[in-house]
Amino acid sequence: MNERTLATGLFLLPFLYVAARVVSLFPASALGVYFAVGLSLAIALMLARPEPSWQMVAVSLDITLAVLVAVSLLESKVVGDLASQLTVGVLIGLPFLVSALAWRERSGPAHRALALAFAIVIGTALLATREGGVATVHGDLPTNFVEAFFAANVNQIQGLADLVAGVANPNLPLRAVFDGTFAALCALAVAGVILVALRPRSGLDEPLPVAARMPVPSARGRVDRLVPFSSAQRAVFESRSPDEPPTGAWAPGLASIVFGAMVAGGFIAVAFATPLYTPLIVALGVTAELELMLIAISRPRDPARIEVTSASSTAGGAAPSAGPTAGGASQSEPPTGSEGLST
Amino acid sequence: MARVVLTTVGGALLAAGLGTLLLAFYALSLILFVFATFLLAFVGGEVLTFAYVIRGFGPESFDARRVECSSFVPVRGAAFVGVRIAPRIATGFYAEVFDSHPDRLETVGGSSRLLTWWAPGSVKTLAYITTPSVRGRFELGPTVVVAHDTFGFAFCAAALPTPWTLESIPRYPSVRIRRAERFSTPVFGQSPDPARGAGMDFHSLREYATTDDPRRIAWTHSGKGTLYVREFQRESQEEVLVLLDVGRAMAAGPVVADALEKAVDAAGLAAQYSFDEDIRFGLVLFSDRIVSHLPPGRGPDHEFAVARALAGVAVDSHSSSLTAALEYLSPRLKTPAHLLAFSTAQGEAEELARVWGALRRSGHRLNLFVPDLRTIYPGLPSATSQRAFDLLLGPEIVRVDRQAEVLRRLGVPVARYGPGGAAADVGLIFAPVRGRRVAA
Repeated sequence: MNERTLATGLFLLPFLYVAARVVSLFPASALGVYFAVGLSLAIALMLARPEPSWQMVAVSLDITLAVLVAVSLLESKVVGDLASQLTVGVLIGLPFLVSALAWRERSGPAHRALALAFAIVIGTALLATREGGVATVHGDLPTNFVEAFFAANVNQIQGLADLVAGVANPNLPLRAVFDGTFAALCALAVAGVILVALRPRSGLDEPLPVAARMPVPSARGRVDRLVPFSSAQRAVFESRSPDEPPTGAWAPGLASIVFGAMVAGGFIAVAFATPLYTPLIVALGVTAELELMLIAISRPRDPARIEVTSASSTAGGAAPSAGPTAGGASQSEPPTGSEGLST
Repeated sequence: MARVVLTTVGGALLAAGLGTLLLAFYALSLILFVFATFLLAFVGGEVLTFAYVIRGFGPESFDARRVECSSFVPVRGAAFVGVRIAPRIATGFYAEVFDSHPDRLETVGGSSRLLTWWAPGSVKTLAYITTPSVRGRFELGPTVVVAHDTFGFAFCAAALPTPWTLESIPRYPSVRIRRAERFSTPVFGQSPDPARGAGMDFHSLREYATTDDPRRIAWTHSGKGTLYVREFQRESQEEVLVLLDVGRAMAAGPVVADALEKAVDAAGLAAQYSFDEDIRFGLVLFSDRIVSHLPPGRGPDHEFAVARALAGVAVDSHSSSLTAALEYLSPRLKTPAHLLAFSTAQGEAEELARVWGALRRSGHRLNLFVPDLRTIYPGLPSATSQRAFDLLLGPEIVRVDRQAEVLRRLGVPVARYGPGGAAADVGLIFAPVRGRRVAA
């Protein structure tokens, strides 16, 4: 199992748990719920595959589901409960759809992190709805669930506004529910996202050499290619540098991971010790970090711009004339070895 | 000091951390808060640590120099390029190193790029074998060092000045000579200027014969019973001067096979034939001014200078004037020369006729090769596009035809060359003299 598959599995765990918890509310007769959840899961799995054909099928299914929900909502009198059942199914399946978009080949760690955060919020809202809203509402269960889901979110926004306004004990439905299993599974999902992000690589996603990889001797030039060259040139060619991993005991990048972990641990400690000051501390910390980064990335540099010139006067090229040629252009730095006509 | 640049990955992850923090404030979820603080601290820590580690990073913090680089290479030949870089940075970092070179230099051995961990104090050597697909002067460098942080969140780049010019010298294969009458006179061997005497250039030694002039006996090389005489050869009075128009009109045609490129091929062939036959060869590159002038000459150094000059020929952004080139040559041509001009013959026809008339009276001969604008461009896919293109090209075609007619009336043979080039016509001009030494 490669790290990507493992990370995807970890990512999906909390939402499978939420789906199981919420779907269990509905009777077997609520086929629309099961159908929409199953379809969402299927779409997620198809979207995660790299083959374009699977992705085309997934997009088609996605459009079908959206049309189905829209039609059933518009014609609710005809289709009866199916509209609300499909809506509940889509709400439960939403984290899977989000995760599928985040785990495509082209998605980066930022997409995955944000998708996970969004999916956690939806999962929290679903659990809060399950625990707090549905049982108190009378009538059709899927309809009540949809209403309760949106009511929980509206109440959360209202509660946050009250909190900012200084109202004591505001109603915060998403905070009222704490599911330990969900939190633990979320922690695993976070670990999955971080696992994939912690691979040494360049900004263009090229893997950087690491010590874990056994150094393979780089391919040397064929001897017949080197025959026309001088012994000094051959010596330089043979001594060219290979791609090397770091050899120090302290792995590069480990300091940042440790620092991040310490800050996260510090946050937990502060949150438990002085919960009232936590938002202030977080805000100050983030502001300070952004300021420092701004200083680091806006440092003036010299020269103003790197010009990778490949100017040459070549056959068919439109480059300006290189000037008189009779005397021959001398190299600005004399070669250290032979500079005869290489053949 | 170089600037740290956030990559897309780093910037996006920072934004994702802030977004997660916002969502955490919305849901008031502990796990989201922890996730957000970890993300922000991790990305910030990584970028700031990187910025600290590579402080002082810049071109001045490296000592880079070219080692054992080839200067000249035949087209399709192999050239060696090496760069050795020593850093003055006290800490290690991941680095991508690449030596900038034009796309027309194909790397066939080694690599011009390195992605590696750069331990403090270690020296990196880039070495590769490259082959040019076309003639030309290729500017190598700078060598660029891009320092990366471990996770690709930020980078810092420095361009190290390592200039080097690699000259790709063309080769001119012999072409099959066709019948001379296909190309109008004058040709070699009809020069009105007679050669002088028996010549003074030493040729070889041979054994004395009774009919030999005793004054030619080489006493220092003769031994008891055997006498040797010195043989001399006649100095060649023949001179060929190629006038190569590098004005912007010579860019007519497809990019890699334009009128100038075809002219360069033909000029190279003329040079090859001249040197083969011991004819003094010169070269003038001109646009509306004289870009370069290699007076007629012989010998290995001169041949190499001609090859280099032809390798570096490129289209000039100016218009051109064949009249100006002929006026420039007029006082400089000491003996009657055969001029081969590859040009679109821009300028006033009357002026051109006047200047050429003076040169003709001095015994010089001229062959003019003009690009055939009707055929040098490849056909366009649609008839409408082709008609529009022909319409645009029409005035220039008329102008070239008019100039050619003026020169024809003055006795100048004018040949047109298209996609096939002018090599065959040049071959016909040299046909009478090719192989005469072998025959003799």
